[in-house]
Amino acid sequence: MRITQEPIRLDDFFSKGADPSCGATASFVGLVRNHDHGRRVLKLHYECYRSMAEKMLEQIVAKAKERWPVDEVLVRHRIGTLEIGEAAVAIAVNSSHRAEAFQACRFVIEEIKKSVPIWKKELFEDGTGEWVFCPEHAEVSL
Amino acid sequence: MKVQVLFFARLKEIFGESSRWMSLREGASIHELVGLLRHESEELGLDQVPLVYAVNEDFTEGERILRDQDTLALMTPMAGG
Repeated sequence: MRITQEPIRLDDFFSKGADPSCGATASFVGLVRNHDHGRRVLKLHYECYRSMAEKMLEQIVAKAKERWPVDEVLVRHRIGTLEIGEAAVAIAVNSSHRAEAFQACRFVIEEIKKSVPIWKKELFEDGTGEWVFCPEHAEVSL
Repeated sequence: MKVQVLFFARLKEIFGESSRWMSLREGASIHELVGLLRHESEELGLDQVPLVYAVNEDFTEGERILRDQDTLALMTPMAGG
């Protein structure tokens, strides 16, 4: 399962060694930041359409492996209520050389944002909250 | 025919539920179903919300004709990461 309620422990996530044929690991970690559009954010609450989100993540990993000669693509996405500084998403791509590791890693995070049914709500200091709206993701590729 | 409609995030809050079964005429499209939901309550403000659809966990267009027992997910644009 790539979606988890549990905190993503980065030491654990990155503890799996790469295959000896790999000369590169590219990684991306998305963190909860304390501001958005000039407003102070206290926490982020993530929700997902779990079965479809797992399916889409699997497809994205498969596509990345199809497109680039990468060995392993690890992805984990957290849901639930996250504190500032916590990891919301972690990606690691192992490959023989760095170019494809960087490219595939970038591809995976961009695809997650576009086509995995996950949503986040910003929780503010005054107790209010707002679902993050990404108009650029209104059109998904079918 | 009957289809199951799933609501998430903002839409779940708007509708106050995470899913419901809806009865539709045979051959009804997603647009038609969304029209019924809009009609149900004017103050939902659905016109201001761009919707993304998935039927049985595959993204699809609003013109898609629904079938009996389909699961339609009514979603706002993705915001993960």
